[in-house]
Amino acid sequence: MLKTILTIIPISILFVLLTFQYIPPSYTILFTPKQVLNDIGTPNLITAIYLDYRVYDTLFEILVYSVAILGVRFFLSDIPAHESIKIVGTDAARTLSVIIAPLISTLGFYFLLTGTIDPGGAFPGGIIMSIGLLLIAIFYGPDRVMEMFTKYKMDLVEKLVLNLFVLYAILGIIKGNYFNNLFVVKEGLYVGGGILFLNILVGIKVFAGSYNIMYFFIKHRGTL
Amino acid sequence: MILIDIFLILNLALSIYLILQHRLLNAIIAEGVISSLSAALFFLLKAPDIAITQVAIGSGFLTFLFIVSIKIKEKVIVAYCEESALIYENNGNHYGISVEILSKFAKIEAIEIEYRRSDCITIYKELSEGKIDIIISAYTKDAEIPRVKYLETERIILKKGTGTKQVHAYGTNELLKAYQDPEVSEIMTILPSLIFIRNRIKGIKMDFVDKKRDVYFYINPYNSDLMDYLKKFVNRNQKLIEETVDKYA
Repeated sequence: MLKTILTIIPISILFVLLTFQYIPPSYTILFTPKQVLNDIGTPNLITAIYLDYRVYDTLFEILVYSVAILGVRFFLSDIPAHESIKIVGTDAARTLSVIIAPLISTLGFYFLLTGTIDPGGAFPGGIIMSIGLLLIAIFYGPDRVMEMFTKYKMDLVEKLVLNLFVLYAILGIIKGNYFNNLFVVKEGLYVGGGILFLNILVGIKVFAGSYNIMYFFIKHRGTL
Repeated sequence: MILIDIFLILNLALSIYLILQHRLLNAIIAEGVISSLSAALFFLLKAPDIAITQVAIGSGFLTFLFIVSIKIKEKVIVAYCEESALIYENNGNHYGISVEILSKFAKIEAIEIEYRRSDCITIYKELSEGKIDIIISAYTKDAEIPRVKYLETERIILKKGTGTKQVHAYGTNELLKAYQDPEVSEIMTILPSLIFIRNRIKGIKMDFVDKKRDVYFYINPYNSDLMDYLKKFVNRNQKLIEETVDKYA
């Protein structure tokens, strides 16, 4: 009880002080759309902001994602692995999943490639790529998907891409400061240059990460 | 925009439904629908990037992860010491009134059930040590063991005519033994036991006694969640239990 009171009183004092004494600073707008177009040239301002002006935040965002994957691996390793995994679904679902899954994965990669032009971006792109695989794992049987995971060493890829991201950030020192845009492209399909590279990098990282989560869930708990 | 208001209200209603929902699968599907609705909202508010992310993660990937997570919550070990109409084994499978009720319960709560035959003397000790979660088809007078009442059966007096002794026999084996004993004249028993061996008893008079006898699930005292869930289930599904009993009677 005393603890609760001792916690609530300073917090309320802080709150009152902040509310009554807060004077809003005069903000200067850091980046206007015009300035972004001038600096980087990407039509999608959001990508420009989260992969250039605020790329340091994005680095920690994908670090959080990595930690989440570690957590999944840690907790699921206690559960014994399934020996045989039941496949659900009808023949129609099996056939359709084989037709639709590549399209879904391609759409995911499209989001990575055009992240600087169109709405989309790295996070949904990576997740959508792995949803294609998920569809096959559920309806066509997880064997092939699990085999590919070990064959292409996806757990390694995930860590490697994270390191590449950090390496790119450090290499920015060539242009004067860390996290600087290395290749500047201001028009065409590859507009953004370094941003597009980072977009694909983060996308692959998210894809590998969600593939990891999927793999461990299917391995230890089975599909639907 | 009125569309935004409609989506927001729908979102709120679905959220309330999600919180109050007892079945986890329904809650997960509601979560997926909420994600799609929020995505529509984001799109209307001119944030297509966030909308795409919300659909892909919230409705797609998370739904799969949640469904896989609830698939098997835990394994419940159900023990019995005597066969009766409540539970009996045939070729490795278990049948009976209690088994049908419990399998329905397991389906709703996503629990895996393992049936185990145990000794009638040590079974309560195993329960109090937490090795077993539920005991069915057993009767004890120990009031400290937590229990959930799910059936009412009638007490029956069987009159054999020969002998002088009066015995109580609630389990099936006891009943058969008492039936074959020439010294016994009256046997006090309950309906589920009688149903199970009715083909073997011929030429016996039956008297129904007014006194009712309750049938319980005896539950692991360490597993209070299981107790709560079973109580709720029994309260909600009285009709189902009655139908199951009628099937066997």
